[in-house]
Amino acid sequence: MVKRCQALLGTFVEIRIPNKYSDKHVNDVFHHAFKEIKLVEQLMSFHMPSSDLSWINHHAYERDVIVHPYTYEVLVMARQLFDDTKGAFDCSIAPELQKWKLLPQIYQIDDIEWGTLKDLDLKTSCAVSFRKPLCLDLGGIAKGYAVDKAVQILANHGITHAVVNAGGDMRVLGHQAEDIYIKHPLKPHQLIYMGELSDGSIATSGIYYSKDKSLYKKQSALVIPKRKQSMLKNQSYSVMAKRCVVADGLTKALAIHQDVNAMYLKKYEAVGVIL
Amino acid sequence: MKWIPNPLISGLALGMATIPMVAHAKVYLSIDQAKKIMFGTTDMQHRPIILTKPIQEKMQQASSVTHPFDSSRIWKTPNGGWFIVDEVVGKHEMITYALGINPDGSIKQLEILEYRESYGFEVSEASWRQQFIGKKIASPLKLNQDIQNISGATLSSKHLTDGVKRLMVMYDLALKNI
Repeated sequence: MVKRCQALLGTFVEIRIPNKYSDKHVNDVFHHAFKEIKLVEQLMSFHMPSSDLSWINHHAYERDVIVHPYTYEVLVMARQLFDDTKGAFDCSIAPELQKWKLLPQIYQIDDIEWGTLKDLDLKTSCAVSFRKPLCLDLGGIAKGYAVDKAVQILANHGITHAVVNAGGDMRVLGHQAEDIYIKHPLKPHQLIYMGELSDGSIATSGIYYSKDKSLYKKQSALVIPKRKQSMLKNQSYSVMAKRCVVADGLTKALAIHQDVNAMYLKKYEAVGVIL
Repeated sequence: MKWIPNPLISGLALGMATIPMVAHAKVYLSIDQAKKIMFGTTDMQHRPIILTKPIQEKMQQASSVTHPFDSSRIWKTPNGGWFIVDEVVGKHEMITYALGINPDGSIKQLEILEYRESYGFEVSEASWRQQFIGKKIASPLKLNQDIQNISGATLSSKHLTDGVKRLMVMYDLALKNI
């Protein structure tokens, strides 16, 4: 296998493809796949002032904002996951993450009555507006989406087997199985062998890295939306699903409900594992 | 999706199913491969420089990177661009990367050359880093090189961004006028 790695989406994204193509084709494929991930980053970054996400966070309460079809697709998915998980997946928790300094202090957050994803109005022709003030952070879903888009690009270039791994959110393209490991939630120097995965994705959420990054050491980026509290259990939550965007989003709901038999997992033909 | 689970994890028997990871290493590109990908050629002029103390201090202030910069890995491209190899060191990982700079001073490309992760002792310890300088020499550390697909909570790439910041400061203060 040939592999390449770039720093994108705030993490390290690795793409691996079989070692049977010409150098030119390999470079071409990697170039286009990483370009696609970069596009997702540029559209959905919380940090970049020019991103679609920044535009809607700034203006969608005042007026309709037209977004890129990819951003629209992610927002539709986010809304669907919000509904299916009864609000356990909610990407409107950015005010809390800002308060805890897990996100940069871009927006004025005090004295505002924030809405939830229910107040996200998705109109036709990629127009988006908010019925109540909202501050969205797509960090819990955009990585998975970017992985899916990259896999699509690889497939379009005739690649039949590949692995795209964006900081632990990964997808295996094709029917050839790959051995999958996850990091032990308590001992990061221990790996747990999860089994073999083909033609599907796995994403894992946990607090074993996020906990120490915050200035407020007792907050993690896993937030219980209804209580606006962060989760501090030293567990990891993995979801396997066909699409990485689904796996990525559902790890947050699994962390909150702690229920591997939840209906939404069945709906998406997903498997949840808590370790 | 097809998933064949490891039977040992179904009962949450973590102790039985774990594999120790002493050091995990991945090599993505050689320096020459990265040159070729970024600039289409390996024909570059090697331009190692000596950085004055004030420049070193400014690089550190702008980026908060304290790990010393090895200024011997700098090349100038035929069209006036630059190709620089550097390392960033995190708590448990060391990343070697190459930065391509266009003749107009904008960033052309950033490629990760190697990624090394270590547990048990800090990566920033000089003795650990030493093992990988010059590389190709068989490492006494056991490297889990066959383990490819690791899922886990996202590892931040912020320190790489800081590394790039210091290289851009160096470009501005030292390379731009060469």
